[in-house]
Amino acid sequence: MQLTLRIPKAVLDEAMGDLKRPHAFAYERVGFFRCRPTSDAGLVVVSGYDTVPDGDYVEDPGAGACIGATAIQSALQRILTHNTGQIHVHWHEHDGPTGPSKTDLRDQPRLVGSFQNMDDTLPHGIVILSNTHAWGVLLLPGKKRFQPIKKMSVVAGGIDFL
Amino acid sequence: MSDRYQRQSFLGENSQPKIERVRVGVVGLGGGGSHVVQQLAHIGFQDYVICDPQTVEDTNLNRLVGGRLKDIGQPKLAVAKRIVRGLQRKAKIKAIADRWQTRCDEFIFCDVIFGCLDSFQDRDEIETFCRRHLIIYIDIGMDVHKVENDPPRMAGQVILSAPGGPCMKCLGFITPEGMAQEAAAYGAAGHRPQVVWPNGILASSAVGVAVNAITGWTGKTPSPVYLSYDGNSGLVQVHPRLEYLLTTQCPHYPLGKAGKPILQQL
Amino acid sequence: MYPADQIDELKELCPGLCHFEEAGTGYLVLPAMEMPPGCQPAKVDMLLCPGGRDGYPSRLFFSEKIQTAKQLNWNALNFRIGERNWHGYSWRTPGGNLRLAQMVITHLSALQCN
Repeated sequence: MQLTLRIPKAVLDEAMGDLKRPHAFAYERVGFFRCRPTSDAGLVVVSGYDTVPDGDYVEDPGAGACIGATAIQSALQRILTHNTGQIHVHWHEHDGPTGPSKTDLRDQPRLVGSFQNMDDTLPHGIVILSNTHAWGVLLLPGKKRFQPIKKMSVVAGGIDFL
Repeated sequence: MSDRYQRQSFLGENSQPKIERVRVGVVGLGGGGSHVVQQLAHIGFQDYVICDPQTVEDTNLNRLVGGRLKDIGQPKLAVAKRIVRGLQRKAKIKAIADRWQTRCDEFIFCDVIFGCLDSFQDRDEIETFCRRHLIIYIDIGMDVHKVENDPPRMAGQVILSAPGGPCMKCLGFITPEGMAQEAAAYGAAGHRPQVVWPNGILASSAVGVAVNAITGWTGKTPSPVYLSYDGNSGLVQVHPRLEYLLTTQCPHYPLGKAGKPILQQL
Repeated sequence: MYPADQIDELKELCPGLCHFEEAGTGYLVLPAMEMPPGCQPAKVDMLLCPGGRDGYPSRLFFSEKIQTAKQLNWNALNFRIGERNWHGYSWRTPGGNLRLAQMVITHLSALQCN
């Protein structure tokens, strides 16, 4: 399956504007894309972005960013309230292809698994953005394994492929 | 870049790979759609989903680009496929000999869809589909109106409708009154006047809009695009309505409602 | 959205009643509704647009075109709404404020052979 994620440019701009902001102690910021399924499991669309408030970070020298229980609870609540999947998103400050760190691989899949436990009819996942590219995986409805996102496009009056 | 596309290298360093990566849909392969398909094939698009349920009739040949006398009785799809294959041997072509609504799953992975349709109803539906799936929609159409005691008036439009931006309702192109009139006239619409050259102008403009959306070669990718064509004077210009748009964000298709409809149990 | 008492009344006709919005228009989905006698299929999903569209004050669509002895003008075939295809016949409900359930019954009366 050629798993595709489409992101409205306005939402991506909002996310990047947020993720690039410095934080008092976190090296990286984290946010969440809201996402919705379509009638084909192979296409997921992003429908919004939610910031993690400054106070919801936990100081952790071993991680670029560590979010606390409140942030996770808010994400879980959004799944119920808005019927949207949650995609954990953060930004790596460089050009070119990017990918998950060991910490990302250790922590984020478990978090996404808890999203799926909340509502497994919705897609949930992880996206990492660089300045020019992106990497991502999704847990699709009913599936237990993450699927790599093969095509990520940003859409407004133009189209960009990440 | 292949030598063939050297003359279009001004579109940008990565323009050709980008064009080749895009899946393009063309709904309606008549007077407008046949022009569009031909130009897309020349430019180098490699991945097509094309759709038309009709067969070629003699009365189509005044405007069906690529159509030949031998094609009468054949599906319009066959003409379109021949045009593409004649220029792009390795292109992927999904050909649908039906109304798009019956096979819309085939269009989900399109990045851009051209609507070369006759009715407001069809346009409304396909724009809604595109908004749900975050697909850029480009609409073209023309009409000729009889005016008492005056020569006929020819007009047409090219509209780019993109996720988040104003839609064809926001632009006043699709209105409840227009839809109601169309529904009332169902079955009595008759044959609309159609000739080749305005279709060519509109299709060319539409393809230009699409290529800019994909390559960004002009440095701007506006949304929406609304070009109006005065067939009597030959003028294509930005529709004056764009000046009076009340909002740049579409209230009809908010981004938060993209994807499958959210069914609320009552 | 809709008055609660009218929703309750409609739910008596259709317990599985759902709502969605598309392009600013509200729709009510009535799943697995029984059609009047003599209709085929006997059970279909219905889609009610209480706020009107296409010049009609309200509109009722069906998940399949209904075969009936009545000659109806099916002027909506394969209309794509809410990511499904729907079919509808031309039937104008009377003006005034029909309750939701009345709307449905009035539309369905077009299918009945007397």
